[in-house]
Amino acid sequence: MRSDINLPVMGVMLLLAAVLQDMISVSLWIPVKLNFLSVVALFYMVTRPFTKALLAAVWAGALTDTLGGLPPFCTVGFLLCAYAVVHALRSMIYRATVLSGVILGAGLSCGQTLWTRIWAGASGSAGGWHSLALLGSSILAGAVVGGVGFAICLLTDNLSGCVQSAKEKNDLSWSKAD
Amino acid sequence: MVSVGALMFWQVGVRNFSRELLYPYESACLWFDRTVSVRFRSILSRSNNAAQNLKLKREVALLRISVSDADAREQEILRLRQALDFKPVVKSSWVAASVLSRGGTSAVWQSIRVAKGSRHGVRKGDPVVVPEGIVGRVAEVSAHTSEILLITDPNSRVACELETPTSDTGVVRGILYGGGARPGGDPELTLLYVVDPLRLRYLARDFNPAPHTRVISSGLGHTFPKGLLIGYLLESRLEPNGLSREATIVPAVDMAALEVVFILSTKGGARAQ
Repeated sequence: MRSDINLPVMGVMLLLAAVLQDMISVSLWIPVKLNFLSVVALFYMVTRPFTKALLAAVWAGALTDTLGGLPPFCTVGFLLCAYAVVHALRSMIYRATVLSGVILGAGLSCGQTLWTRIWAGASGSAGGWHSLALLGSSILAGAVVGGVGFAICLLTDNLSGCVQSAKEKNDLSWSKAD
Repeated sequence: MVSVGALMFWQVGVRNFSRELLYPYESACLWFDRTVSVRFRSILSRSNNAAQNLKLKREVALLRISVSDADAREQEILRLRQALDFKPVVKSSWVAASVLSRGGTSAVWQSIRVAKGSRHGVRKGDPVVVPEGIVGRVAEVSAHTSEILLITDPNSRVACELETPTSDTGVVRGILYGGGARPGGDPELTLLYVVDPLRLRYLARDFNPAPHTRVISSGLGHTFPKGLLIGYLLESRLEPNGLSREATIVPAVDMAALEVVFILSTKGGARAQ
């Protein structure tokens, strides 16, 4: 009997994402945090059933909030809303690829930046060059992290056996599959 | 009551657990950077200068702290002799801590996390300095890590005074506000690496300080010892209400370049005078 290792794999990936997001500091060229946690949660929203996707969103949101000094359920709430959007777009996002990671990551990062700043109390004017630079940087950073994050998660899924490849599903052995 | 309890559980329990959960991995990354990558770089440069430089820099930083501490204590002794008002000196020690991360996972607040916690004698509210000046104070503590709120954060307040040129001028004191906040408490979206000049408010309206005046801690807030450098004054102007003067201050410490900080850990439950 094959054991379900989805949860351990998800836990390890979220932990790794938390370490990366925490330790990579902002810089002059990337003035926002690289949101690895949200991208990993996004990947599981696209590829996993409801309960596991929800669990990933809650874990990722809780880690982001506790390690970032944010109010409780700030990022958790955002990721739950993001899951609702992803679920609605399911017909368009039929599988997770690097390209879909880039596009979704960019949108997710921009939305998360706005949501977090407003929730955390930075309710000043949304205009100004600083604000535009922040949002533009978050879109760019989200696109990069989305592509990289989805690629790593896809690789991890294949290596850990969480996802069966299409060739195996057709009952063809590797030596005979094209 | 339930909601307050849940909030306290989140603030203390869950956040401490999350920090402790990441601590071993971040320490491992820090160890790797300090030992393996430094040695690798020294091999590439065909010398051991990189590791030696790092070691010497740490020793120099510790010696500077000791010297500035000794200077502050000497000044204190002189003041006590003049005033003939002796108070018992609380024993304190400096705890060196490596910086693990900056801004946490959100980069909303101007804070850093260091690799020393309650097990090393660090307590909430302890001042944090480097040889160049004040960095901030300890905001949260877990067993092995601490969150340091920088003086550049909009929520930071420091009681300070100006180093005035002559004793005739008297002491000019004010409250230092962290950057990023606008008058009226309406913060704008800020970038972590962009440090808005700090604002020194409630200065005496009749005194017009010269640019580049040194701003030091006054010790009145009972958080930072007296005499530690905070920054340098750029310019000053009267506040809109006309009752006091406000100045813009550039911090002496480059917050983006912090690698090792020093936490003043007091023993006996009282702050150092």
